[in-house]
Amino acid sequence: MRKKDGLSKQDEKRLLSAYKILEEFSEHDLPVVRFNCRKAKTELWQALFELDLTDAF
Amino acid sequence: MKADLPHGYWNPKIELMPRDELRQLQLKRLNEVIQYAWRHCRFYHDLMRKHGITPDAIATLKDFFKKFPMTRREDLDKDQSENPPYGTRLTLPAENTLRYHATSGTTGKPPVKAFDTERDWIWGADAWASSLYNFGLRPEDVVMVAFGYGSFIGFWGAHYAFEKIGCRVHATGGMDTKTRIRMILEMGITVLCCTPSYALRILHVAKQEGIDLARESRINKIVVAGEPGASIPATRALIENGLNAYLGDFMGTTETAGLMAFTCSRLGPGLHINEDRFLAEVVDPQTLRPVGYSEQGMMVVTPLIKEAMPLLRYATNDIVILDPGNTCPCGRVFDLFRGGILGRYDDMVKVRGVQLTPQMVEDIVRSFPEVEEFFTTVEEKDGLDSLLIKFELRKDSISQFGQELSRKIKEQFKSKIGLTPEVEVAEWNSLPRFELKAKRFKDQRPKRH
Repeated sequence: MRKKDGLSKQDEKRLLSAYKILEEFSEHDLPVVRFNCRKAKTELWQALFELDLTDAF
Repeated sequence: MKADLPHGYWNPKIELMPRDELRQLQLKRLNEVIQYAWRHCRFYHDLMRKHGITPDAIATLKDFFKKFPMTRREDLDKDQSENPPYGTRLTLPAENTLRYHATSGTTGKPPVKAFDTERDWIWGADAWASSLYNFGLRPEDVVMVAFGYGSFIGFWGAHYAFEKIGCRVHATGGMDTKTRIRMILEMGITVLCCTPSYALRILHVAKQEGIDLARESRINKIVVAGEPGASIPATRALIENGLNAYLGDFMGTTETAGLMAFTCSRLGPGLHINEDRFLAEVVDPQTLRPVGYSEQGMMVVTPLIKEAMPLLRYATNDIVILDPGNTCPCGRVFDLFRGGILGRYDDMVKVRGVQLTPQMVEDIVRSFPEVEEFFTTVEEKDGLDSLLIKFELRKDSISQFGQELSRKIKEQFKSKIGLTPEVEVAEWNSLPRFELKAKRFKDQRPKRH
């Protein structure tokens, strides 16, 4: 369930899972995967940081 | 009639959170920054040791304000010159960073070199993006960024932020003003992003070309930064009326790489500080003690994340007045700098006993729309301070009007500031024009002042 001014606990967990996946693929051998996932991972980290969710790392 | 700016919150969880929770968040982030600097940054490790501070000595924000030494521009210059080429603030090998920028060099000092990691850069662009969104930028906007795209950070962060929001961005580095004006009309630009000086320049050139941008362009928002022009009522009115658009003022520094403060879509009485990203203080420039709300002082800032080059309690020399967030009707808890940046303490001069800033001069001279450009000089003549203002009339003004205008400018100075300057009309197009960081004030007196 989405909240108007933020995220539900479930959505927070899904975003953190997405970060873990992007983090894993940021080390991939294939450049097209590695570089795009690394950029996406850092962008997602920014959202998690702004939402004060980076303590989970 | 201009449509209202769209209202919204980039991150309502933080922007609307109770103020005491925001302070807790700042403290948590500050502690992380201090720990990081202690472990990875030689500059701050040495500074903390010198002052007998360890990270666990900072348990509260008050501890930080009381115990932690300020960093001044001179400290950065000294560190850089004694430890070439980058100084000792860099926490990781330069090849592991993503961006390099330098300060504009308008102070005449060697530029400060600033590096950002990918995380720093995305953080900085995000600070711009949230501020632009909160001013009213939306994906359907078409933006012209009118600056040179050099090593000065300028609008680089804004460019990435516009893209993050989904706006189409027209980069115009290297274009002349006439070409930019053609592009504004042909490409349906809705947002002009530049310095206040350059917005005025565009308006003057358009006028010479017989173009009324207020009527003929689609510009409805102007994003300015880099100079205090938007906080000068006369300059602000000239730009807003000339383009029939809302003007948003945005404030940041090369050293922090992020956008510190912004105009929100409710166009309140000041710039909201991005307080989840920056810890801002206002102090008396002499005693360095904190001043309260509504009192003028110097801004001191700490970015609450900075990987490549941490910066703690940076004394900016900017003159500000702090107001509580609820002074603005937008609902954000972020405090405000009343009227934006009001000037710089290092630009303030004493002329015949009167404290004068370039902004005070500009506010008077720009209140006369017939003035196209101006320049101020302070000299010593026969042992006395002399203030000289040269101004150019707009090309379409009647030249005989110059003497009358000189008299009116003198009168305004006498009544508002208590000084009577010499005022001269200069030949059209003889005074310098600026795209970035305008300098229209020169103190030519011997250095004892």
